This record gives sequence, C-alpha cells and structure tokens, in this order.
Amino acid sequence: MPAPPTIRNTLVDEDVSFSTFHHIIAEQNIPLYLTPGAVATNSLSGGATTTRALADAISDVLQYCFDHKEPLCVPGATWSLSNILSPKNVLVDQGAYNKVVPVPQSMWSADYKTAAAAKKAAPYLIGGGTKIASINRVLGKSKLALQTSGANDGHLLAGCVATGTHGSALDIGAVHDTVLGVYLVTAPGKAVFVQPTKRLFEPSLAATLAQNTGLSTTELCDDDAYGAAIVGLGAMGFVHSMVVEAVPLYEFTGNVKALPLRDPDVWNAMATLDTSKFGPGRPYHFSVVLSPYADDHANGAFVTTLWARPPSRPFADPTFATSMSSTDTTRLISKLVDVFGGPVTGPILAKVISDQTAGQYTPGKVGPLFPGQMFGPTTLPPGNGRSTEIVVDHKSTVAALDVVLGALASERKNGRLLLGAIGVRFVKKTRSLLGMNINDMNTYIELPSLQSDQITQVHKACWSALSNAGITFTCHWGQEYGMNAQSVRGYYGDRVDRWKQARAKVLSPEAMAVFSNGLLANVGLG
Amino acid sequence: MNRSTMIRVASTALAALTLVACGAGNIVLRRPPALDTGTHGPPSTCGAGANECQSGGAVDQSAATQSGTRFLPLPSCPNGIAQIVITNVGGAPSASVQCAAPNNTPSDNSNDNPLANPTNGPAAGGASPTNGGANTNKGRSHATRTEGGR
Repeated sequence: MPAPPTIRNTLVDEDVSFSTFHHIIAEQNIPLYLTPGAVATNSLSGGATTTRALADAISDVLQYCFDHKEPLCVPGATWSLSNILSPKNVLVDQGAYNKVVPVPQSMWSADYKTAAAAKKAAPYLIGGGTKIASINRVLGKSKLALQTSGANDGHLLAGCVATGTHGSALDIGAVHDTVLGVYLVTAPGKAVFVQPTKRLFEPSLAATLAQNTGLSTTELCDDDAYGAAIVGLGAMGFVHSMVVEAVPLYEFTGNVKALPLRDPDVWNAMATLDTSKFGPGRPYHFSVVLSPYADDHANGAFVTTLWARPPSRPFADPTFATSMSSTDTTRLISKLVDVFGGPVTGPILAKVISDQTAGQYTPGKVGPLFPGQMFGPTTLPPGNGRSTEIVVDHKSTVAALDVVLGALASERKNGRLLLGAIGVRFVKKTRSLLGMNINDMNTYIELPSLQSDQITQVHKACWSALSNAGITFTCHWGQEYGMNAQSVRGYYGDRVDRWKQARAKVLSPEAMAVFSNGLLANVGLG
Repeated sequence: MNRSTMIRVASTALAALTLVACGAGNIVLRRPPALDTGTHGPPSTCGAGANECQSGGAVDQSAATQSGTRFLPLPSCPNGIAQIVITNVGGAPSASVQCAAPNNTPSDNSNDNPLANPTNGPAAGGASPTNGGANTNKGRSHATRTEGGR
C-alpha cells in the first residue's frame, strides 16, 4: 500500500479489522478505513460534517482511489449477505452523509407539482448514509413517513436502495420505487444528479447542490440512467444523497391469522392477492410466513394484513417491544438463537422449529403502529443469520412455493433443515432496471435461517429445484444468491445491456474500476 | 451506550472489571495501564442474564491475583464498548470486542442545508434536521484479542 493519504475532514485509520453484521466477512484487515466527518476542525470553518466539508472528503477519497487504481467499498450498515460487499484496500464509512432536508417547492417541476399534490407528497433530499430509523424519526416529527421500507430499520439509505430492499406494500413498490432522483459523486470533484427523462425537479436543484458541495455537477434526465442509478448495486458512484418521496404520516392497524400450512384461503390469497378472507378492503401490506415443517394439524401459515389510516395519536418512535412485528422473520431467527445457543451443526428436530415459529407469530390484532414501529429495529444478534430471497413473477407464486416446499422436504430427508421459516411478500412493478420487481406484480420468497453448516446447501437445493422446474427467478442482490450471468440475463433480459449502457453514461471507465465489486463480476454486470 | 450486550459496561469502568468463569479460573479484561489514567468510580458487577450492571461494592482484588488468572487486553473504543464475547473460557480464552457506534441522533442544523440558496439562507420548507456525526455501523476494532499474558 502507498503511504496513507491526507484526506480532508476524514479520520484515516490503517489496518482496521472489519466484520459485517452477519459475519459473512469476519475480521478482514482493511488497510485504509476512512471515516469522513469524524475529525475535529476549526469551528469557524463550520466543522467536518458540513455539506462542503463532506464533499471535499469524498472528493479526496476518490482522488486517492483513482490515482492508485483502488476499488472503493462503501459498506453501508454491513447487512448484506452477498458479495456486493467485497472490500479490498479502501473502505469508506458513509455515516456522516446523513442530512435530511425537504426539497423546496420552487425546485419541483410543474408535472411533479401536480403529481405530488394528488397524494400530498413531500420530496426530501436524504443523505445516502442516513439510517432508515433516523429517516422515520425525522419524517415522523414532521408528520410524514416513508411509503415503504424493509422488515427492519437498520439499513443506511444508499445500501437499502442499491440492493433492492422492499417491503410488502401492495400498491407502492420497493424502497427504490419511492426514490425520485439520485446525487452521485462519480469522480474527484465531479457529481451528477440523475432523474427521469420527464423531469421531476428543476435544474435549480442540481445547481444548488453544485454550489453547496463545490462539486462540478451535471444534471442527467434520462430514464435508463435513473433506472440504473436507483438500484445501482454499489456500482454507479458514491451515493451522496437521494430524493425520496415521503407522504403524510399514517399508522397501521390489522391482524395476524394463524392457519394450517396448506390452508386454501391462504394459498388463494397469495395466488390472487384477493385478501377479502382476511379483512375488508385492499390492505396496504399483505405478507405470509410459512412454517415449512409444520404437520397437517398444526398452524403453519401466518398471515399479516395491515391497513393504513391517518394517525390517531402523536408520532412515536419504535421500541424493541413493538418492533418485534409479525412480519419480521429475523424475529424468529433471534428466538432460535436463544433456543439453540448459537451456530448449529447437529441434527435438529423439525418440530422444534415449527413450534418456535408458531410461538412467534401469535394471531391477533396488530396496531395501531407507525411504519417505523411496525418495521423497526432488528432483534437478531450479529453473526447468526443467513438468508436467500427468491423473486418470481407473481403468476408463478403457487408453483414456486410448491417447488421450494418440495425442495425443503427433500433436504429434510437428507438431514438438512432450514432453521427458520419462509417469508412471502408481494411488490408491484419497478421503474428501476435491476430492481427484482420487474413484473407487473412480484412474489418474494425469503428463506432466512439460523447459520449452520448446511444452510447454503439447502438454499442451493431450492435454486436448483426452481431451475429444474423451469421457473424463472432471481434473488435479492443483498442476500445469498443463485444466479450467474446467464440466469441474470434470462430474468432481466435487455435490462442488463441497458443498465451497462446507462452506467457508461454516468461513469468513466476509470470510475467503473473504482466502483466495482464481486457481485458484478459474478453475474455478468461488470 | 444504550444497547443490550452480553457484557454491558462503560469503557471508563473497564479498568478492573473481573469476570468469574465457572470452574475455569478468573479472567480479567483490562486496557494496558499506559493507555489509562487508572480506575474511576465504583466497580460494576454484571451478572448473567442481567440487562444492566449493578454499580457499587468493593473490588475483590484477589480475583486478579489468583494463580491461573488469565489477562486479556481491550481495544480503545472512543464511543464505548457494545459487546464483549469471551470464548474458550476453559481453554485458551479469547475476547471478541465490538466497539459501539457513535450516536446517530438527528439534530437540527438548518445553517447547513445542502439545498439552501447560498445567498438567501436556508431553503424554503423549514427545518433541515441532520445527523450530527458519522454513523459508523462497522466492526471497527472488532478485534479478537488473545491472551495478553501480562
């Protein structure tokens, strides 16, 4: 490694031991661990966390990476289970890029003013390093909320969006579908603000960012560049901030119902999204947890149906008590950690898993809870979880679930168990190029498990069974995946080439080398 | 420090924290004396299953001087320690120490709105709440320290 660089407004640590949350990466030595904003500066200059200071910092980081041809890893909250996080010599902590500010109406395009008025939307410029929990808190205090989020709130915005994180809000889409524009730092001193071809924001937004960051900023109004940038896989530049569309604060009420694994009402609801058996009217959120080893007489399908309504009480933050929501499969894994006491290698009775699952998803009323309470902090301790999430066209829901359950049954006969349950969620079509939700409606089948020596083999068995059944699928970019270049092209079609072409519009070849990772190489996107 | 941990302590109280391992001799976690100014405040006693440590009482110094006591060093954590996991207690123990992240509480800083008009002050729309510091959700100093042997 060259001598440690001087990077403005940044704490430069050498030889730092780095681990990700799930310990996919465990104690890897990082020669240069850079934390912009984490230094004291002359207070008269405004400190190290001002917009200008942080722009200077990332500009210097990129200068170093460009000069020394070093890939840059931005790990976010380190939750990813895939090799989208594949740090080499330089890692930058994005946490200081966490400002949350409303976009003034003077910067909204005329078209967007009309669209926003219809749903009383409020676009916010939010730093890529902002934790979802912080966004919930800041917006909540302004009587606003995110339209959807993941099952938990510990992600940083950039990583959450870049990997395609979603909820199960039937008529919203994934988190990336609530992003209206992205501000990317693409080279030392250079940035681009990307938004759809039919602009949502006036040029004054990019111009103001340029003035306040000091970065030479280009405005790019291009549907494919926008579609590539929102699910950017960590490969479109440093995500300085995003414009996220917030809506008036709402609260959830609903219910959890526990039924047998093969209950026809559950399967009909998953197949048709007609949820009338679970409550009147179109729900905001609908998801199902399936307990794959439940016997015929036990409850093995746990249905959560939530409706949104205006708040009935003042805004409140989540607590651990309320965050243990019925939609959170990590809650089950957390409980299994307690039961099994850590990583498991020996034979485990499937009945124990079924009983624990049934115990975690007790039926009854849910709410009222604010979105940040419903999808709050994870209860999962670090280093215990593994997961894959399979995504199929909603039309293939029943077939795909049958195949997955069959594969799990076969694996069980060979003594290999999923130490968890199956989460089933539904997300409508995306505007992004590589969001997993490319179909009109999409079914996400998550297989979270307690870490074991067998779990990857169990996941692989599910992927193989789906392939053998001719069911086209993809996997969550931030979890263990079963795709290669061929299968990615099979699922995404010409979106692969469009994503690559859009990336080339935003980044120079030199920048592409800096913003690269192991995932891109594995699936033919590099 | 406000998170549940296996061993929940303030870094300043760690200078002489002793843990009694069942039938395996004592383990002492402490930072090299040259890095600290010494002990401060009452010691804390942290029992298994407790969410909070109990302060007060006297330090049983004999635990740190008994034959067979193992000494493990601790890293410097600017924001305190989130978790200490001691493994292989009965053999050659090691401690995996995870430092706590800085506070991520958003604060109001309307003078530094990236969408403010530089000539006219903050952008329209009111407050521009920001998070004050770096959100270091990393495993920095998540170092496995083996037996110090001092």
